[in-house]
Amino acid sequence: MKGNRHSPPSAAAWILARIARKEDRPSILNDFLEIHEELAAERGLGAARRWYWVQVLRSLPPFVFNNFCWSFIMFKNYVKVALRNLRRHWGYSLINIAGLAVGFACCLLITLWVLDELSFDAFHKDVGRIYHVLCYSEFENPTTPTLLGPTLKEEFAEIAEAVRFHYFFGGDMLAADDKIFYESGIRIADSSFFEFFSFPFLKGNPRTALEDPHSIVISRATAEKYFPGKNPLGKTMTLNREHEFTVSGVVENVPPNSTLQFDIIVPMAFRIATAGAWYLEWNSLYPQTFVKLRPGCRSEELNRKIADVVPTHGGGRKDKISLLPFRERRFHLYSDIAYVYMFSATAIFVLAIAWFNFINLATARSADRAKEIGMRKISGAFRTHILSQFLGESLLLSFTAFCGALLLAALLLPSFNALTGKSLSLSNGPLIPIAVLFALLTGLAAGVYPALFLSGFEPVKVIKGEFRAGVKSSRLRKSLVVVQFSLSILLMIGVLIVHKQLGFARRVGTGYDRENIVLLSMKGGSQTSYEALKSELLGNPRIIDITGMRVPLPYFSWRQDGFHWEGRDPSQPGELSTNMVNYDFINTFRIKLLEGRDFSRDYPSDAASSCLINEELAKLMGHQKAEGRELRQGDRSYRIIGVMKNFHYQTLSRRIEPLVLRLEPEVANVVGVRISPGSLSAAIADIKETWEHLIPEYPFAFTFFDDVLESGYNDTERTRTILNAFTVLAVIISCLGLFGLASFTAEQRTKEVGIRKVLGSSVGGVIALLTKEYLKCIVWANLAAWPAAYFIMQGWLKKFAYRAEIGVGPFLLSAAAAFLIALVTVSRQAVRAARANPVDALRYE
Amino acid sequence: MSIITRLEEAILIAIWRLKDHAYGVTINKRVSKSLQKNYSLGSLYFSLDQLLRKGYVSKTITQVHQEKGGRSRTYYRLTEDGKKALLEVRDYQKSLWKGISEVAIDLKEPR
Repeated sequence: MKGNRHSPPSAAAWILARIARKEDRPSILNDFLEIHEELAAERGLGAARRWYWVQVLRSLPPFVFNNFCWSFIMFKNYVKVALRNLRRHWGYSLINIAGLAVGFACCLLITLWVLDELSFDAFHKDVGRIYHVLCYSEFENPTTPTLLGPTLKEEFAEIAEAVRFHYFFGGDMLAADDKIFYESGIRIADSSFFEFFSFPFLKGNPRTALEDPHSIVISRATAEKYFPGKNPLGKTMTLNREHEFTVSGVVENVPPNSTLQFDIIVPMAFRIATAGAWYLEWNSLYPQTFVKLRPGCRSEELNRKIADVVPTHGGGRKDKISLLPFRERRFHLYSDIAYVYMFSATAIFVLAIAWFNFINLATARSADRAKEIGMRKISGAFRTHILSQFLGESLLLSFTAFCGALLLAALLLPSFNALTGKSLSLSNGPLIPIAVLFALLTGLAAGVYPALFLSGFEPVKVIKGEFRAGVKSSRLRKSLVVVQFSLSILLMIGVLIVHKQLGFARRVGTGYDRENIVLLSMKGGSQTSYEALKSELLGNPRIIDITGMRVPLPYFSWRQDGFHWEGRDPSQPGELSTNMVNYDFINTFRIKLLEGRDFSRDYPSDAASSCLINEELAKLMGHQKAEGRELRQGDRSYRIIGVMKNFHYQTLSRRIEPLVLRLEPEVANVVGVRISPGSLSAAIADIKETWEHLIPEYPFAFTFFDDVLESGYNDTERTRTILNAFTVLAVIISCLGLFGLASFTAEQRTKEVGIRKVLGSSVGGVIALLTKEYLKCIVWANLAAWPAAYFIMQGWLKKFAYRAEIGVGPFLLSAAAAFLIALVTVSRQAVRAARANPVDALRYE
Repeated sequence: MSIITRLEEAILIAIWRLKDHAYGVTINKRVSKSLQKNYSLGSLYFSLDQLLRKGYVSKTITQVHQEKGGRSRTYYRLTEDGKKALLEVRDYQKSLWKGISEVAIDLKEPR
């Protein structure tokens, strides 16, 4: 039988060896071999081999069925034992499953959030070739001179297309048929906009829709608002009662994960035709400019080539330009990638904490299972059987938790959406498969240590009672508790510092009084009635002050270049933030004046040649007194009549930069009205009445200044709330684990406690004994978490213009919280164990 | 009354007869001969496992040193339960046939 000549076909033998049950494998193989040999001797090797193959193939179904039958019987037993264990220790099981479920649910929600953040702007075709042109002078500007886009396209062969996108001032009035609304989503764009970007067009031709300067493209929602149930194409819409447009296209509503947001687009050609020549000058930045490179062009090379385009066209600006990949817009301009990292880290932390709970409780309970494992081994179970039993058990738990997590996530999703301002859904793309995979991995990862640990028991020792389970692994359990708590403490410190920073930004104050102000926007011809409105309203005792602005607070984002003053160092910025305001701006917003006076009608020269500057600019100009000095811009010069105390003319996270305010007595794009406190609704009714009396053809609409401010830092506020919620969850899950572990130890040490008490130990002594070891863990956790938290948060704070000191507060506070929580969690069990009657513990000895 | 299949019955009888020589190959041969059908070894093992589970047979895994170069073989033996089950089946069949005379069996068609 030696040698290949008589041996059966090896492939068939291999298959047979796979499917035969392990214990019977040699005999089965031998039986086959025997017949094979006989046949080979009688009818030749070929026939024998054929017989062997036929036999193996014919035997496949019964073998497989048989295997399945046996493993099913074992499986049934495993499930039964697992369920019995779950029921018997339902407290631990609940902690385990609930912890994992909450961890999973957190993870699911955060994954949804992160996927959404990362999906921004991905839907455009060729998005990899689209870039946003940024201007750098002393500051980074997302806007460019108007002519930059066409110039770039003309001068550089690498650029296939350039598109400009600009905001209207906001709050413009659009009318169609008999409907009039104020629209804040009107944007201006070049005619190639809809070819350049991939916003799905519903009606009209995307290539030609914006070619006529009097065409207008509206979103589906806008179309439904103005023309319900009618075909909007060809209909006329009137902007600010001045300009007529013909609807030439309807575009699908812009998805929320687009950084370009608009409801209505009017052609750039219209804007250029109606604006003055100033709009085309190279000395100011107006629209955003996007370029699409030809395939195969490298942005790095192009970046070097185009860097100096702006200065070469005159106008006095020295900006360098550079290209920002379009998909980075989200994190560069609107959000912060740091939050994505923070959230991902939080998700991983929460899951890790739940996972450690699982491992801890599983190994801690090993004492209960030791006898069972011993019995199984004696009855012939291999280590692999025990391994697969425990892995299976942890998978069962993990999937139960996973189902709970899905339910929980589905329940929490609406409030999570409200919190994040997103519209996430669980059916989002690859989420569920990823999550299932995740549950599988967690189950395996959480089960593998307990499984290896438990399956390694020596049956003899276990049955003889020599084996004391749980002692060896107690060090591991404690280190896991340390890790859990250091993660929780890390999160707590992080959240406290985030709070401190954001609270700091608020406490620093806006520099103006934000309460009791109502903003109205006056469009087109209505601005001529500003003076009448003002004088009539000031006669009303409920109205205190009223002013007008070109760009409203807190969005003074307009910068002008070319400023100069006596004694200016050429290295100092000549580009200043600027805005036009009407009389009484200072009074209405209650901005403090450090020097000089406000604009006043008593000085007719104010309108042409006076300006107010802020503290920051005064500092930059040096000398003690800025009042009375000259500020020149090109050939014009302005006399400084007052210095305003610094105020946040942009959102709070922005640094306060040098600012110049000039008077423009006709300007009233946005009107701010200060109302006497306590009479808000009455005052608004009065304003409405006056408005409707003076300019009935313009609908009355208002916003509270407070709300405008709030929406400015809503995003950070939201992030903070979410972070809070998840930190609380992380702490709760850690506590759950600690609670389970503590009650387990207390149970295990019942006899020890009994003996100690019999020997005269006090209740206090026993409690101290039982809690001490966990408190030691918390000390270690603190020591580990502090430096990590310090370095991480130091890094996060760097990018804020106004930074709160980290200080010791957050560290001490979270340490105290951790101690307190741990103490409360552990001591309940400890007290119960300590107060138990020793007789109950010892009477069976 | 224990219900076993015809194949199982044949296997049990084969094991009984083979006494100490009942292992896969011999059982298969005998069963195939008596039932005049070629059974695959796979289905035989399956039935053997079923009988094992019912407790009608027991098995011992042995190393056969002298013969065939020291291979291992699984020998099957009938247990007391197995014997009882076989006898029960025999009695049952007898009771089914009771009252039908040998003469009647010789007739081509029962009337």
